[in-house]
Amino acid sequence: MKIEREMMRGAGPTAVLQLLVRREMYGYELVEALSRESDGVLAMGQSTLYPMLYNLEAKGLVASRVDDSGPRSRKYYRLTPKGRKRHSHDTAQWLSLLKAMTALGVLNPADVAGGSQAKGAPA
Amino acid sequence: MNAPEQPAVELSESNATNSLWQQIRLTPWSDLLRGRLSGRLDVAALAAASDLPMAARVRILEIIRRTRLWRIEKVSVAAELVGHFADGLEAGASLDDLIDGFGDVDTTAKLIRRAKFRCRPWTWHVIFRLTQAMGIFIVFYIAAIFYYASGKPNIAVDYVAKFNESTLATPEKDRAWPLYRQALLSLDRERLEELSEHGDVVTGDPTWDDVATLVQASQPTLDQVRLAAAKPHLGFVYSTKIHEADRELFPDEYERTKGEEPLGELDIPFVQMKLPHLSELRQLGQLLAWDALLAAEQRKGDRVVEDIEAILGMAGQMSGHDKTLIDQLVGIAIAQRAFESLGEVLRRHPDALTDVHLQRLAHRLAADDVAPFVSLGGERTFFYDVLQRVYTDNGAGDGRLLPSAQTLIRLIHTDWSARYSGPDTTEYLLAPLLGAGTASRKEMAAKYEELYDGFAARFAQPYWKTRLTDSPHEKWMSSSHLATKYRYSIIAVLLPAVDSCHTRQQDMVGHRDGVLTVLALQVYHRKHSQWPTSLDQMVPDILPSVPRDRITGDPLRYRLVNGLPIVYSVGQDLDDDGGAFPAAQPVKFHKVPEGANEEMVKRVNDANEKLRNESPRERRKRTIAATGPSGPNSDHAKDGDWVLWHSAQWPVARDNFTPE
Repeated sequence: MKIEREMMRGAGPTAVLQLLVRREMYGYELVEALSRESDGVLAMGQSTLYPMLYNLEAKGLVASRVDDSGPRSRKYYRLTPKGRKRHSHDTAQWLSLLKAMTALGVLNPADVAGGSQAKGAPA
Repeated sequence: MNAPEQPAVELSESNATNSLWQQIRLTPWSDLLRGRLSGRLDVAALAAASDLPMAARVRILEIIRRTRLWRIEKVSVAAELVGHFADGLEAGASLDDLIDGFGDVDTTAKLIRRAKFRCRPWTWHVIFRLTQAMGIFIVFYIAAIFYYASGKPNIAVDYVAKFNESTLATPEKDRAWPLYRQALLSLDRERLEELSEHGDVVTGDPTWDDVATLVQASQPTLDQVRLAAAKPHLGFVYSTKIHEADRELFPDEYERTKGEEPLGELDIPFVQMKLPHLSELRQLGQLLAWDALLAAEQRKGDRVVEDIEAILGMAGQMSGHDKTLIDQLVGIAIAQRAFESLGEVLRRHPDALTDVHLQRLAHRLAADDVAPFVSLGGERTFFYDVLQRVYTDNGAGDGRLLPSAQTLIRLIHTDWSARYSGPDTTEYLLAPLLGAGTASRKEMAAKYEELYDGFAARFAQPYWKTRLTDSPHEKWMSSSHLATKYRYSIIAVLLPAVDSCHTRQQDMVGHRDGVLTVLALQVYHRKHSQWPTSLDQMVPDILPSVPRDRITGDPLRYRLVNGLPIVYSVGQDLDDDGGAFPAAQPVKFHKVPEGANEEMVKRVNDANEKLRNESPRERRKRTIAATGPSGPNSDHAKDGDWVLWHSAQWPVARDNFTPE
């Protein structure tokens, strides 16, 4: 399923921050991880990802470093303390949203729990 | 798949990396400072060195080029995108999928550009916003220049014609100027002008015989002048050209002005207006004054009276709402000539006048029309003429300021007589600033009316009432902020020194009252064979009341010295010095205004030359006047009285003038 642009605008950065909570990652790695771990729902092209990373960097939520030690130069992104705080805040908000949607009956707890069933659903 | 078949961009920012200049251009400052020509800002070289397929390199370069980022940012983004493609291909992704992942080139470039802008330092953002604001300001300012420059005045009213209305409505037979013209044509004007250069000439002066000869030879002319002076209206028609009827009188000026046409809205008729009659009338007034002295010497009292009446008649013709301010000031000077001349007759030849003569002169001097208040009607008309030329007209009495307003201000400060062709570049450029800060046409007119009413009320009062209060102009100028003065700059430049018109008029009234008192003193003396000890003794038999001191409002001062009277005002120091003159006043030379043209410089130099050659009598007059209403009000002038009439035996020893 393809997420509409407006929804992606809110979910995308949180998803990227979530991936970076674990470890620092480079661009292609993030594209892959997003696609893989969200079953393609949060897959985003380079045209979305890189501007998003630059925006997060401008806001001070992520920091980057260039690693020249490998066969080719790579730019790694990591969370800053400010980014961590923001991630916690966003996560809490998403949780509240989820609860509210569930309470309203928009979401079914069973569906949310068994979300894996939706994997591979047509967009 | 939307990879282009052919490269749409140069794959190497040049093929030109060989060039030293290119190397320098593509090397960051940090490297250059270390003495390294790294050339590492070459995005194309970076892409070329990546071993990526051509389509990937082309796509990367297309995006990078369209981001319009700094070179160092482009290199950073390019390196990241190259890495992205390499990682993708290495992970087994197809080239097409990777290229598709970039979406639309323009959109991607735009998103990257925006995001990268946000990453720039805050100093850059400040400068960027300021530059943006400046750019917007410049655009609006340029638009405003066009807005102001595109305005056109609507010169709807012929104010000169309006000003001439009352003259043109006067029947020809009631107009004096045609008779003055004839008189002037029959006169040896060259000789009169030459003798007038000597200033005040009285019996006994070295040039008096020449004056007497001219006056004697001009008797038929003087008869005509007296006839003219008895007419109710001057009848001079104001114009920017010399009237056809005056062609013979002013041939040079006629030739010079006959072909002149207005060059633009600032070729203001009121500025270009020709006033050649003023110097001619002033000289006729002088001729009459000399004739009064000659007639007194010849014991011809009737002629003395006729001459004095004629001078006053002429001065009266130059006053009123339909006269320019300069006409009125010349009229005041001519009237002063009558009082001086009569004062001189009473000083030297009082016996030339019979009791009837004295009475007739006293009644004439006391008449209302002798010392009329100065009217700013002409100035007001001039103001509205200027207003219609420097503002647009929205049809409801309002409008915006035109660039030509600045030209007007420039002309006022440099050369009034300059012919006008249009605002200069600077004036166009400054038009929005001046236009935004200056009052609209309606506001400007309202402020002018407010000030005008204030002046009219002030001018109708004697000096002893106005002396202690600021004039409306002074009040306005001292109480207003700079912004307010700037806002009404047109008024500020068009209302110079109007207060001095009032003080000059009050000077004249003071002199008139002084001479009037002396006429009464003569009558008393003849009746009682002695001078009164106080002016009150003449009230009410000879004088209805003692004239008032123009400066204090108290009765005029009078005393006898060596058995002869002096009539005086206490002067600006308000201190009775017993009729003593103030100390000699230093000559105040005129300054040449900045930017003055040749003609103006010559005029100022001539006036200064005249001051340098001042006769003792002229110096005495100037000194005495220093204590009057129009005096400089300086400490130097303060210690002394304003002597309105004195006998030939006066002044006292403290003065450094030779008694006559």
